[in-house]
Amino acid sequence: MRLGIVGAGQAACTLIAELIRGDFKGDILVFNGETHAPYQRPPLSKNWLKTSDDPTSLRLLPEPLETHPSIQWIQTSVQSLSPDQGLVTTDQGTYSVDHLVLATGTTAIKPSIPGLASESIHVIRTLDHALRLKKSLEGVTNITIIGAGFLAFELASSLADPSRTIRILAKGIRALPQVAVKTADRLVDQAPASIRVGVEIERFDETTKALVTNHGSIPTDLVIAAIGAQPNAELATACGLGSSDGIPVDEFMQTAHPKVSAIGEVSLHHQPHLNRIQRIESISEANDSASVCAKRLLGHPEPFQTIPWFWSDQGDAKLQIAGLCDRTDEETCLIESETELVMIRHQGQRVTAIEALNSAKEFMAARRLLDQGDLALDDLLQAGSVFARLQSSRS
Amino acid sequence: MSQWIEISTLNALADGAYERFEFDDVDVLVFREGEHVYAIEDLCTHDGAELCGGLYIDGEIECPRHGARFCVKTGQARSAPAYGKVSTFPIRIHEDGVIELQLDDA
Repeated sequence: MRLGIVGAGQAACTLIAELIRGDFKGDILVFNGETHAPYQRPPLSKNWLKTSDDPTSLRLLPEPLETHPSIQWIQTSVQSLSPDQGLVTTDQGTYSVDHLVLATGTTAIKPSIPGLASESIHVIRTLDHALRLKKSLEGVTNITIIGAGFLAFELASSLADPSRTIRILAKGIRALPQVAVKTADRLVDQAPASIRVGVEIERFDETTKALVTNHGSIPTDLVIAAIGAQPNAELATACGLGSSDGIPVDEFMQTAHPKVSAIGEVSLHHQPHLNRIQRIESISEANDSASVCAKRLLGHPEPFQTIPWFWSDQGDAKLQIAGLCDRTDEETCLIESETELVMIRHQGQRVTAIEALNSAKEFMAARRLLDQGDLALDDLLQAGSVFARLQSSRS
Repeated sequence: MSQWIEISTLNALADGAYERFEFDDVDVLVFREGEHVYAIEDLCTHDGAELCGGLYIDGEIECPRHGARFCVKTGQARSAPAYGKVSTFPIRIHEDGVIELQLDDA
């Protein structure tokens, strides 16, 4: 079999690793539209932004995998696909494949700000974005971050410096970190930035170098937008397989076309834990969907069934969330100390998510228990800790 | 071939658990599974930080930060986001239960 993978991010690399580990009989063509070898994205907004200039430290695949003889890396963007014929057209030529996996990821959304050219607004999605931001930081004293999700808080922590003033502007309270109130409060308290909610940006005033908003004039040397991302589904949409919400796939990551699969953040599928169709942007989604796809391609299909999970490093605060809950879900604090916090989100007795701050062991146990099936609130409260509950379930 | 270093005894290691040992250039996690003992470097090949503190279940240790899992017997990465093998170290157990570790044969 000749397999084509479009994209070379986390999902693509996990697919490659799992196929090689599973002794895949065939050739793998990887179409990488970036100029860099596969790299890790999460550190771009975290410590790497602050401490390193070395892109090689972000290398995603170990050398034996990157140079595996069955993999051919094609450094070019894909122009179009012809699934029926199994053709991938690039500006370097047309390639024939037996099956195609789309791991095209997402693109950061940039807001439109009158008076400010689009290229003057920074985003963080790729290594080139991060390198450009690093270069632009010299002499900058007023940084404005638009959006107030995890990415905005990570950036604020990474860019914190006595010589700079960092301001986070959020449109509404819904933009604040989607974690339990106590956890979010701590993040907001610890953020090395001022945070304003309910901000509408009117324009950028070049003369005063300030954003003009309904909260007054905000001095701004550099703007970073962290307001989300949109799926790169254009290639799939052009052949009738995509939508503006992503690329629909079944529980085995198969699109409507038998020769095409989609994995990672671009894939749109039923999330068993949530019992609804949803596209999720996280490393866990990239890895788990890739793993499901690899098993199918290796002839051992298993449906997608893992729970989503997330992490975010904001200075000393290590936030980890297992599961995904609605904003209206109840919350019960399981562990709280000066440095640690474990919050259970639940609907009645059914635990929907566990949010942990600086409590890695509790978080990892939560992942295991949520993956095993229904988890009751009273069981957790009785055990006193998620880890203790996991141990009791195994004894 | 480097020297064998006495690190513990079988009785001192709880079955199904692990302990961390610090040496000059490397930190090592030592796991006991029944009468078997395994040693790997305390280093996640995904982010270069320690594995210590992670769950040890079914012969695998799980990185406490991002969930990569490693086989403690072979050092092989069993799940993303790690893809590279973690170093392993030879172990020998004497009849009296003394456990010895050899460092530079990883």
